[in-house]
Order: sequence, then structure tokens, then C-alpha cells
Amino acid sequence: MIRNPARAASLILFTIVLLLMPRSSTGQVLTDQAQYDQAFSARADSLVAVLSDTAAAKAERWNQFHHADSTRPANVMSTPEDRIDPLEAALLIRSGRDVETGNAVLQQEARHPFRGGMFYIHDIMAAYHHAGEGLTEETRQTIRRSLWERPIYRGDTENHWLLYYTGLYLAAQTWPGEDGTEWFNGKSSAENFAEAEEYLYHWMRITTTIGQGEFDSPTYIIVFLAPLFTLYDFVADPQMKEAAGKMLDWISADYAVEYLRGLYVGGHSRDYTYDAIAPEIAPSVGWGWLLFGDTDAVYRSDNLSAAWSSYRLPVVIHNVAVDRSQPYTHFERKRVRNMIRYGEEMNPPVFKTTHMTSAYALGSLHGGILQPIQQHTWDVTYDDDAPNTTVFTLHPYYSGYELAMFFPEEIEWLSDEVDRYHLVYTDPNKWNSSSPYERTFQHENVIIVLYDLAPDAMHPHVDGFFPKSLQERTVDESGWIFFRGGRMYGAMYPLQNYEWIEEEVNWRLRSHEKRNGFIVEVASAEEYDSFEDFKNRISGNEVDLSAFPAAATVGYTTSAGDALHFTFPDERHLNGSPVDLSAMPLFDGPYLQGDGRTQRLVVTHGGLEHVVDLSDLP
Amino acid sequence: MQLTSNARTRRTSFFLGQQWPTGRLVSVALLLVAFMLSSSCTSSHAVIPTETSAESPEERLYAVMLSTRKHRLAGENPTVGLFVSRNAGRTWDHTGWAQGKTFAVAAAQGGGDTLFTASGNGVMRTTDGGRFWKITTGWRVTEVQDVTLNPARSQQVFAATPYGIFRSDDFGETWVRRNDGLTSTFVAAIRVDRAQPDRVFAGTEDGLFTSSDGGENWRRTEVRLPVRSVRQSSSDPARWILGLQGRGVAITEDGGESWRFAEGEIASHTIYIADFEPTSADIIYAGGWESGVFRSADGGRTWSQFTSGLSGLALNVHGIAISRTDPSHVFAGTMGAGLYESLDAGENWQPVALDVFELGQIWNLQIYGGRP
Repeated sequence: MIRNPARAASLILFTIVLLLMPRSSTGQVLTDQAQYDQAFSARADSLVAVLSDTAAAKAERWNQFHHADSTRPANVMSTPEDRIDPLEAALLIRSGRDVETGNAVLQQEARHPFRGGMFYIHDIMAAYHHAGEGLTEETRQTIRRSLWERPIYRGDTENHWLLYYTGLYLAAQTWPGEDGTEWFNGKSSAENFAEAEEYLYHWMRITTTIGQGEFDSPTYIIVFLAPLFTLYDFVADPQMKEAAGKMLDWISADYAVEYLRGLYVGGHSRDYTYDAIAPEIAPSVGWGWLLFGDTDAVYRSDNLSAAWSSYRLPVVIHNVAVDRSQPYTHFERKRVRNMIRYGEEMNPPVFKTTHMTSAYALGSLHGGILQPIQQHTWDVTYDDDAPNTTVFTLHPYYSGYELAMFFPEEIEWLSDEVDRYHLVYTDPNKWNSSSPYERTFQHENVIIVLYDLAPDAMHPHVDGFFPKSLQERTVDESGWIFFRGGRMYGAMYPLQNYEWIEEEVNWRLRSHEKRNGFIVEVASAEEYDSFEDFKNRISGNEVDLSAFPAAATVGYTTSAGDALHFTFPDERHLNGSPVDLSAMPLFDGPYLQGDGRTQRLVVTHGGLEHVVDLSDLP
Repeated sequence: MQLTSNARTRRTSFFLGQQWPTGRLVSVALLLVAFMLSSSCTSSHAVIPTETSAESPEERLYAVMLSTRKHRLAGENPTVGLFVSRNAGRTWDHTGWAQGKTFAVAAAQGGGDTLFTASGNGVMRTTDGGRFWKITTGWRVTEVQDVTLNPARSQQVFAATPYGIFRSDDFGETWVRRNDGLTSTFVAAIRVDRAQPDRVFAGTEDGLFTSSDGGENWRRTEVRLPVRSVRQSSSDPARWILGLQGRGVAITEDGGESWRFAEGEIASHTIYIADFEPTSADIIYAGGWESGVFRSADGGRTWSQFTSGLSGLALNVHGIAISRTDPSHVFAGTMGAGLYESLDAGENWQPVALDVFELGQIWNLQIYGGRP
């Protein structure tokens, strides 16, 4: 029940606005920027309105909790759900809903002995600027003091550094002219500013020349978009602001082209397990709704910086995200995270292929160890209102060797140590993993995935994830597994014997042969008269196992008549011609064209075009 | 134990109408005094000593705790980083950053108030015994594994990183990368020859490299296994010992011209740390993965393995320090079981300062000062 008449009126107003909004919220292509801006603003306003109520309710409980025991340690709440994060505190201040509590929360955050590191410095500086004039002098001083007395660990990943240097840049800009004795790291404001600026431009440069390392992640996209929004809105230097805006275009376009009604599809560098098997709950979904607007509303506090931002997504990127009227295949080149040992190259390329339709997306990385711990190499993800709308396979690999490629600590020690943090790293049943024994060959709507496990491979099995929410999953006498979800028809041909294991939300296909693999073909329901028709067609396609398993070589002729031959690890032939992945540019497809040499990304859709040009970075 | 956050006290004072930390006021005053007294101060940054102090009679034991097994992501984690004991491990003070990653520590000659740490954020330096720290490096220097000072050139500092070797000739004010000749830029350990100031030893993933021109150029040696540690005997500068990945240790008695690989049980272990007893190059201790502590009394020709008092995670030893005052007093830093000491030259072990180092991953131990 809403007791505040002003709140009630504003919600009614938002409802009217939403009803009157152009059909952009249902995924319609828009013809001009003003249409998009209007629709975005309505979504942003509704996000702020809903989260204001949530934050105010939390603030009430927060005050009850802390007033009951004034000695309670800073920022300890009764439940984790009741924690008021810095952006929510800024919201309380900015909206005027509870300025006092908002300030108190930020002060406690800044005084908390265990708040530190890259997340802290970014989030507190974002909140500092978003809260604006409503910040009390005491809050300002407390935050400032925290950046003198608090160790701020920079972290060891790409997103850590972007967060750290964004926060450091803004802090140095906010408090210029101070000497090293005033800062946690002993460097002056000028030194911190220069270092942060140099790194931020470096990150932009490497991303636009050889690609992101933590690319296309439904889990981690939040920690790239959030700092870019923070930079865009609060840096004083117009050159940095322009660059941040262009990077927002770049990362958003990268998301849009592999976006399927809320879901970030294709292969991913890093995912949390639950995002891998339930893509509908990944953090990217919130960004998808706010930026593209073709799903039900998702209210996440980490989207507040975007909702408050003056940045506006170019309408053409929106259109790329929501228009699935024509199937297309899109290619991307990314990079491996910094490989500090055991490799010839620091950042070998990653090759991505994604086939997009309105019913499903089939996407893949070329395979191997491209990211430690959380890699998601391939899947078919389909559009359906059911949960867990994804099917994929993997080899649950782990090793100190893999970790030592990317982390400097001791090889014997790393697996156990990483397991303590990520909990499932050594788990034989895990649902995200890179593996040196896995490679893919994708052509449009077909993929061959081969595994060639070493004799001494840990966890010598491969697993397949089939959600229980599929409308159908049958094993045909031809050897094909047929599955159907939403308007997606799928077929998987396992190359070896396997078993089914029932789990909470899925069926696990498990096969214990070390030389192994799967042929997968996917289609939209519209392409066939019926699912039976699809089955009949697939069953008649040629599967060439004449060399398998003596050799890790298979062939398959697709329903479209294309002949794929694949030999592990990297011999790929399409209709008799070798496939050269190394020629793949940063972006290549009907909507996105990008070349690392020019640092330009051209986004086109219909008659609209937008060029993101970062060739003039300092 | 005394703990301070970021090596600074929280006391505050009022000065010029503003609230200033007392520590900062004191620091400013000391800097002014130092500036007035120092005729050699040419930098606009910190006060930089131009020559090292004499060996301190006080023995200081430094322990670097990288992390603990209690640590959780974004959790309320125990204090880690650099600890110092001035009474042979009985009590400990924390100095520097309480969170983040610290891999190793090095003191200027004499073990006085000037320290460098090899840290996740770069190379950190204090010149006032840990009250004020500065990250001396920029963003390109990260995950620093080891740091060492040139004993003969007080301004020269080397840092070993996963991205190569960095050298500073101005006490950390500026750094340059020096990788010419390296076939692997993953460098875990680095030391300068006390007898030859231009001779530097670098332990890399591709083995041991040496430089004879102060790190400008590197030459691969016959030791081609991943090197985890490099140490020089303080009693015989011709003797060096390397901890090796999966192959025990390698020893030279001729300043690195030739190397001898250890045989026996130790050869089947990865050895993270091996070091000489301060007064005798024949007595050597070594520790590594699931090894406990090895000791040799004949310059590394034969080894005895000791595990009495060490079990489970305590068998994984990553740091060793031998008291100069009492060479039978040996410390072992373990990977997840905290700090241990032996009072009988390594034969029996017991945990030390459990309240400070509980489940600690002690990555590095160093002893400075003290007199045999």
C-alpha cells in the first residue's frame, strides 16, 4: 500500500507513460533517436521509482536494526538482502526519500574496516557523485578519509582494474592538488590521476585492437558498463568523457548483437554457474531490459548509474538488439586473458561464432583454455518463458597448470586455493569450465564439438546440460537426441555411449569415453512443418564416423547441404575447403563490422549507421 | 600484537583550522627537519637515503602472510601482509597494508627503517619503519613476486614480476623494464651478488638467468627448470642455492659457473625456498610442497628430512628464516598452517603466534640485523 500521495501520483504517471510509450518496449525497431530516448527515459524513471521504494523500506529496517544496538559494527545488517549498497544510499539522498539514512550508510561503508579494494573505490566514488548536493560534509570527509587510511587492492582481473582506475581517476579529480601523504598509496593526486588516465586509455586501446579478455559475460558485463557510466557522467575532461561514451557504445553493441530477448547468448569468457544454467537470471538481463526494453522490467540497483546517466544508446544499437526478423551469423575476435606463463603469446586470439534467430542462438568459442575457471564454450540458448533455456556440453577440467597460466602463485597450491573461493572449481559436476581437450567447429546453425581427453585427464568424462523445462527430449533409434523448447528444434548426435542423470533442474548427459564429441543442429520451428518433420530430416543427414574413434575426426552434412569435416584440435573443413579462423576481425556480421587495425566499429541496421571510432585515443 | 591500518595511526589533531591526522603532522614535521638537515636530498618526493646504515644489532624477523585459509571473497577477512617481530617471534607487529596481496619483503642493508615489499599493487616502499608507505610503481608493474636491493648500490632495486624484471636506479622513484635475453618473462625470484654488484641472478619459469651488467642483458644458464627461489650464502658469496619446481635444489660453489642438482628424496619435491645458515655455507635448509623441512650439513650433498611437529598443510613450506643470533632457531612459513619454529636446527617444530598467523599462508620470511 502506498501511503505517500506524491509517490502514488508518480507511479500512476509512470503507468500512463508506460502505456503510452511507443512499442519499443516490446522490441520494435525504432526509426529515430528521440523515440528511443523517450522510451529509455520512461524505463529509467520507473527503475528509479521502484528502487526508491525498495531502498526506503530497507532504510526503515536499517534504522530499526542499528538504533536497537548503537554499538553494532558498521554496515552489518540483519540479512544480506537488507544491505543498502552505495548506489541505493545515493538514491535515498538524491531522491530525498531518506537523506539522513543515505548519508549514514555511506559513512558506515567508508568506515567499515573490511570495505576496500577495487569494488569499494569505484562504488563509493560513484555514489559520492550521484548523491550530489545531498551529501553532508561529514559524509564527504569520511569518504575522503577512507581513501587515505584504507588499503585499496587493485585486484588481478580486467574488470578489477577498470573499476579501480575509474574510482582512482574520479577520486584524484575530486581532490586535486594533494600530496602523497594524503592518499592510501602514497602517491599525489596528480600521480594518481596520471596513472589512472594512462591505464583507462590503455584498456580502451587494447579492447578496440585485440578485443576484451573478459568478453561477453552475462555475469561480468555489469562491472564493465557500470564504471563506464560512472566515467561518462562525472569526468571533467571532455576527451575522457567522449572516450567513455564511445566505449559504452562499443560494449553495448557487442552485447546487442548477441542478445536474444533479455539473454546474453553465445560463448562467454566467464560466467557464474547459475548464470550459465539459468541465463534468465544473469545480471545482463537487467541491463538488457534497461537498454533495449523488449522484456519484462528488471529492477537492479546496479542499473541505477545507467538510469541516472546522460548517456543515450544510439538507436541503431537498440535496433540491432531487438530485431530478430532475419537470421544471421556473426563472428567476433576476442583475446585470452593475460597468459603469464606456459604460452607463446600473452593474449592469443579467441574466435567466436554466433548464429542468431528469433527462436534461438547457437554460439561458440573455438575451444581450449581461453579463460581460467569460468569459461562457457558453447551453447544453444532459446527464447522461451521457461527457466534454464539452454543446452550445452563441457569437459569439467581443472588443474594447477591452467591456473598457473594466469595466476602467479604456486602451481601445486592453486587448485585448492581457487576452490575455496569459487567452490566448484574441482567439482566433477560443475557447469562451467575451459578444457584443453575441447574444440568446436561451428557453421551457422550446426556445431561439432570434439573432446580428446588425455589418458590422465582429471574427471575423465564429458557432460551435457538439458533443462527439464524443455518441451520434449527424446532419444531416437538413429542415435540422435531430439529436443524442443520454445520455437527451437534441436538435435544432438553423441559420438559415444552415455547415460542420463536426473538433477534438480536438468538432465545430465554423461559420457565416459575420452575421445568423444557431439554433432548439433538447431532450427526454428517455422522452418519445418512439424517437429517430426525436423526429426526425419536430421535422421537422414550423413554422419561420417569412418575415422572415429581411431582418430578424433568426424564429418557431417547439414540439412542445408553443407559438408563439415573436423579433426581435433584445429582442422576444420567446410565443403572441402579449410576454414581459416585466424582471418576473423573483431566484428564481422550484417550489423557489426569492426577491425582492430582501425579501432572502428561500424553499426548498421536498416538505414541507420553509427560509427564508433576510437582511433584517436591519446 | 599491535595492528595499524595502512601503517598509519588514526589520531587526529587540528592544524590551520583543519582536522589533520597527528601522524601526518608528525610526518610533515619530520620531513621538514630531515630536509633541513639533509644535504643529499635532491628529490622532491620522499627523503631518500643515499647510503645504507650499519648492520643493526637488533634482529628483526619479517613474515609476509599472503592470505589465510579463512579468507573469502569480499568477506571480513583477517589482517594479512607484513608482520615484524623484534624478539625472535614471540610478539608481532603488523605494518603496511592489512589487505591485498604481499608476496615478499626486502630491507635496506642493516634492516633498519627502509623496506620494500613485492605486492599485488606493485613495489611498495617505506623509509620510516612502516608508518608511511608508497607504491613506487605504476600500473604496468603488478603481481610482484620478489624484490631485492643491490647491497653495493644503495639506490638500486630490482623487482621480479610475471611480466619481467624491473630495475630502479633511484630507490624506487622510477622503474625500467629489463628483459633483454630472457626467454620467459615470468620471474619468481631475483638477487644481486654481494661480491659483484653488476652480477644479478633471476629465477624464471625457463630456469636461471644471470646478468653481468646490472640487469641490462640476461644470459640463460644450465639450470633450465622453473626456479622458485634464489639465495646467496652470507658467509661464502660464491655459494648460491636455487629452489626448483619438481626437482629439489641446485647449488653452485663457484659463483654460478657450474651447478649441482641435489639427489635423494629432496629431488622429488618442488622446493619453494632454500637458504644457508648465516654463519656456515655448509648448513642449508629447504622447504617446499609436501616436504616439511630438509636440512643439509654438508653443503647440499646429502639431506635429512624433518617433519616432527609438521603435518597436513604445515608440510607445505614456502618461507624459511634462520636466526643469526641463534642459528639453531629456525622459522618455517607454511602454506595454510601459519608460522612454525624449531629450536633444534629443524628437527622438531611447533606453531608460533597462532593468534596472528592462524591458517596463514606465509609466503616469505626474512631476517635482518642481529649478530652471530
